[in-house]
Amino acid sequence: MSMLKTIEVLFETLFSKPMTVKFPYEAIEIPEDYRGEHELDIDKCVGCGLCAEICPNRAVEMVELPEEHKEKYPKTYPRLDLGKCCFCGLCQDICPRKCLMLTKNVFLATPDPSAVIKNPMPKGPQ
Amino acid sequence: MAESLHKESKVIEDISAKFKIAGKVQRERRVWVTIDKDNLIMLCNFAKGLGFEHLSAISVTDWPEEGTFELTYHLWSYSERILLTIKTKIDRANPVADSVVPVWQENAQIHERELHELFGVEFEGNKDLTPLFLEDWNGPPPFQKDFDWKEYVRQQCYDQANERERAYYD
Amino acid sequence: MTKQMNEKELITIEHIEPIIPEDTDYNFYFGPAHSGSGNFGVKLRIDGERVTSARADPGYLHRGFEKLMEYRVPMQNAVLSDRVCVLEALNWNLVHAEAVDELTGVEVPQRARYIRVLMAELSRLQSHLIWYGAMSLGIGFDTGFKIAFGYRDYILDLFELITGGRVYPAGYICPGGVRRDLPGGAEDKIKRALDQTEEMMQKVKDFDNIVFSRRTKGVGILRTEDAIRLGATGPVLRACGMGTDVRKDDPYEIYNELDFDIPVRREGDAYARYLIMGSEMEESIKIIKQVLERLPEGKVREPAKITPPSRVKIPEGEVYVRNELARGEGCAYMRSVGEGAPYRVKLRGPDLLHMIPVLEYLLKGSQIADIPAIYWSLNICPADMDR
Repeated sequence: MSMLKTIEVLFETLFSKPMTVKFPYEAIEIPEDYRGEHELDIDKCVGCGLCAEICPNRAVEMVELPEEHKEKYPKTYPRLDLGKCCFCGLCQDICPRKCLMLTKNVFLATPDPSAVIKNPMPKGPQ
Repeated sequence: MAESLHKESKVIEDISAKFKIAGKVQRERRVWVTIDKDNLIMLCNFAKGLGFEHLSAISVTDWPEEGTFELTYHLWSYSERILLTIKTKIDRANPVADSVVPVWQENAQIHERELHELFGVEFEGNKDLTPLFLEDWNGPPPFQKDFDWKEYVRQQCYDQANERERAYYD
Repeated sequence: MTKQMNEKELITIEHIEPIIPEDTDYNFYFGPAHSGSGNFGVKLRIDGERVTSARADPGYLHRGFEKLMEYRVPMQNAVLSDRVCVLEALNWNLVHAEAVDELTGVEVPQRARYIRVLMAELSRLQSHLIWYGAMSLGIGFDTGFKIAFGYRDYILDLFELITGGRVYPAGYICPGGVRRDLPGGAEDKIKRALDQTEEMMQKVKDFDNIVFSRRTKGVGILRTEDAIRLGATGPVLRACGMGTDVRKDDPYEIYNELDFDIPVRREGDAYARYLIMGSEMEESIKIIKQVLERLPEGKVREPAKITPPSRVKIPEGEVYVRNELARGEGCAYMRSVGEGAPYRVKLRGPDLLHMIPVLEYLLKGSQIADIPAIYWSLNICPADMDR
């Protein structure tokens, strides 16, 4: 009878593991090759501008660095507007030197509007 | 390969015998014919009699240099499994075409309503050509090639104080 | 159950007449701000509890894709094409990629074709789970909705692993093949997700109780000749007795080498559409298992590198491709004059026909309590209609 089936299903679900995880104490692992935030290796970049040409949303703009770095890095480098970006990864696929890569960082929400624009900056101590 | 295109060639033969137009077999299951706009309804009725009872889509292509709109009707036959495309041209300055609602009823009516709103083509015989998607739109039909959407958006929506919007307008 | 009533003519609701208090006629907006209707509204005219006329109110999601695609090269259009209908993004990717491939005449590698079919069928599975969830939600069965979306997440984890994003695969199926190869260990994870989906389908059969069948049997009956006249395709047409499927009648990719059946039913009501949903999920699982057995080795994209946009040229020509989406027949007409961007793209989705003529026809004469069952059993997607 259906009452028996109800009790059977009840016991089955009481003692089985739930589908959800208790985020942020536990997390589901993000796989490799996930399309998250960008990272630019500025020493390898040649300033070809292909990433700015292929972007479907015009989120990439080639700009020059501020005066103090212009001597070491004289070309134009990509500046990203993460608000316009759709994280498609075409800029990563077309880069001929493989210096613009997408990382696994997905925690990008911010209350500060100026943090949305990522300027190209040399790494290391300033 | 020639014997497998037998059904498609037969469709072209049947149409050419009655209408004196040439057709093309692009590949298997795809047949394209072109006709002038005065015989369009007769060809549509003839095609429905041959078994093309499903109207898949109607589309309009805008050719501003030639001064024409090109209408394409894509018909599918469930029994013969062939797609027939009928192409015809109408004048761009006075875009009036015969409606195919008497042939395919509500299916055609909704496609023509959408094309009337987006391209401005008048379909004679279609009783309900009220706007479908756009509300309070008082500009020209937006999908025509000479509608300068960049200028329109720049005047209506460009917020010059916002530095991030400059990338879209230069 | 749709009785013939004394013929009140179809009243358009563009202007609203003043309602006299003794009268039982009123306007009812099953509209876009309703929690159970999606981004789409229907204006109904109701007498007591029976609907006398219905008028669809589309256009809340019109983004103008057909015009946007005229300014971008095919690789950029592939990223746009998955936003045409977000619930089955990979299937729309496939429609666009096939249209460009046929125009350029490129030979897609065999491994890429098998991966394309695999991803399209996985996308069909998760779209049917949304269908089941939305139909249960409309009827009032909240548990079915939550469990369906929970099991759908296992398939979204597969998308995350293979394409890099859960909901938007960003043009994974692109012109020339697919964007990247399957990662190592993907086949075992796919098989595990299929086992979990079969668990969910067993639960769907258990949930089919007297309340569900009472609310959906005999509701929203559509006959074959009306279905063809109104332009219905896909599962809605197969529930009316017409056994047609684009994968069998007009095969694309490698469907002519695979072995699967097409479920057909005769009644044409909401219950028949629900049963077809279950059978189609079983057929999709069969197809995926065959693809995994026969997957060949080789390249996955031709050409292997992306061409810079200033050097892309599509040869002149015009094509019309037809695909079987989860909701019906999805087509694309593409015309090119030899430049980098296509000259005209027309996307034909199944929902423009299902949501305006078919819905207005079925809602006329039904009761208020049957509106959700009819509405959600048609498996609608407002994004596909507006484009």
